[in-house]
Amino acid sequence: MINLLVLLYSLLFDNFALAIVGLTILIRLITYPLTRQQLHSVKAMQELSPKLQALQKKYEKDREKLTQETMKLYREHGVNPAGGCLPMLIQMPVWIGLYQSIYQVLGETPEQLMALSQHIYHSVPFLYEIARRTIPLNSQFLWWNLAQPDKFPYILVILVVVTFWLQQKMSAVPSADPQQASMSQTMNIMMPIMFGFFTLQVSSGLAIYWVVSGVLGIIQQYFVTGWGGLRAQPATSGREDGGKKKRRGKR
Amino acid sequence: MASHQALSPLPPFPSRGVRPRSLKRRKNLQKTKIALASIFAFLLLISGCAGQIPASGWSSPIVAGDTLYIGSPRGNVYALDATTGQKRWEVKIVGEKSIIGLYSSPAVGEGLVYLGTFEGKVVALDAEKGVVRWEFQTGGAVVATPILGGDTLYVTSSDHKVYALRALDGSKIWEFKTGARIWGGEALENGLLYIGSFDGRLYALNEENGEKVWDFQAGGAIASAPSLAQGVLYFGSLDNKLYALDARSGEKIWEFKTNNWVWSQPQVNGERVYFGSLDHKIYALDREGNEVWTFETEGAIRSSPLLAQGLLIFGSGDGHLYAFDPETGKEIWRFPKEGGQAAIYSTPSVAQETIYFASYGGKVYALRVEDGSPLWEFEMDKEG
Repeated sequence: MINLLVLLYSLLFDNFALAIVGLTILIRLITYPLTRQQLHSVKAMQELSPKLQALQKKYEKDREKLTQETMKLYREHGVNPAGGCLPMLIQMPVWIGLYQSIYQVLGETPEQLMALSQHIYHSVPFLYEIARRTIPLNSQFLWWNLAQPDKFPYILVILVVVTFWLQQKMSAVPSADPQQASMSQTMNIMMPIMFGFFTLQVSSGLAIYWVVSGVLGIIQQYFVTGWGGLRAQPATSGREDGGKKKRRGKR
Repeated sequence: MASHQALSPLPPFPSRGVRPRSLKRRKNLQKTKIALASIFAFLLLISGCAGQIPASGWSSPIVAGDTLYIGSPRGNVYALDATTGQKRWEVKIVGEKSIIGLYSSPAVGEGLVYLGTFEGKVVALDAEKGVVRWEFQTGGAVVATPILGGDTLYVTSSDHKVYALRALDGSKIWEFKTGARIWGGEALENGLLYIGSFDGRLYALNEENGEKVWDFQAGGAIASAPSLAQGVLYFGSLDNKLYALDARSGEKIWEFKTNNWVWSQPQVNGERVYFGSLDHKIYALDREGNEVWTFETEGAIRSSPLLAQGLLIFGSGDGHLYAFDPETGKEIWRFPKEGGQAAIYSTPSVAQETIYFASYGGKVYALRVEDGSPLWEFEMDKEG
């Protein structure tokens, strides 16, 4: 990843922020098959939502039957409720690798710069030429030092929280179960806040990766599911959606 | 970015009785997602901490009279008895919250000890008492060792500038701005001050007023101080090369390529030029730039070699201090004999048949020059 970042930096106008954007696009392209699968799974879940709610109403008093019918519905439509975990699992090593690479590539301290020397492929002629011309890399982008965490007015923190929240919201599936809805809502709030907190601790370069990756994820999702959960009315606790729909159906 | 898993709707909790197994499985899936996020959080924090390279600095020991002066990983300056290693005084010259050590080695003269800090300060301490006499704030980290030329102190900084300060009170005489950070030190001879910058240029400045006399563009950034001998200027670059220039005109005489960056200040003696490279090797060249001999260690060689009592002495990232015959390249001794201690990135110094060096992380050693046998050691930054 270090040599790739240096290469992208030299190709993209000696700009490290653009190098991170380029890396993000590359990673998105590589993981596209898995992401596409997961997005279609989300779409299918969202489309199944009314049927799931109908099943819930029908088998309200027979939980075992409800579970059987629910799993049958999933199987018939090829939906895997656990499939969405995989993209997150794949992204984790990327985040960790990028976190470490940014510090070494930017060489803010002499030790970091010296460590960089041991990772550059000096024996590959074109990489040697790029390295000798560009290193040490310029860590400044606008008012950010990309090796340092975001500072006031915390624009990157806000962007990270917003993009995470938007993605979660778009892929949310309404639930008739109040407890489930509550849990989903908690996750939808906690995850963006957690990443917002991380953004305060990690380099701005990693935060830029999260923002760009989030925006690309939103665009990908829009073309598959539309606005998804952003438009869908979540199930409210204590009311039956079936009854609510009947009341709406005025003639 | 992670895409959020669409949460599957669950049947309501049973009010009493045993839960069906499949219901329990779905509940476990929800818990798994939360656990997954928590584990990720933990992993990111841990790996983030683990991935951070320590910044302990590599200040070299300097002996003046019977006192050894050195900077420490926690920003303290020590004065030790050079014979016994006993501490005479200790002064902290960085902020309380600073986590970066001292890279600058002390420069000693006129009763004062001068060092730079990563916070950008140049500090002058009373050599006897360890009291701060003056401070000068630059705009960036001071990594290189300052040098004294008469009553003028020359300092380089990460704010791209070279400063000439009055040594007695720290007032600025002049400054010169280059195109990038300066982490390397200076060389001074015949009225010219030579410094290398991360912009890849070796500058020759008038020492009186800082006006540029000439500059030379190398193939990569310059991170170390140049050396001068018999009218020839030698310096290393991050293009893996050692250069030899005419010190008056800046014309290139020759260049020699290694397999990694040259961050070591060369040592010149008679007909030989000695330097280390981050490719783990120590090189001996003749004055025409031809390789005479080389030796490969198991660690990067950042520090500069030292010639003392007929030996070439240098430290390596593999944790050994080596002593070689400078003519033949034959190893005479190494310390420690077996195993390796912490890496040695600072440059050793010699006084009265004793070699002094510091290992990475803060231990100072004194060895006999002739055989490398230990005399004393001192651990800096130790509480109590």
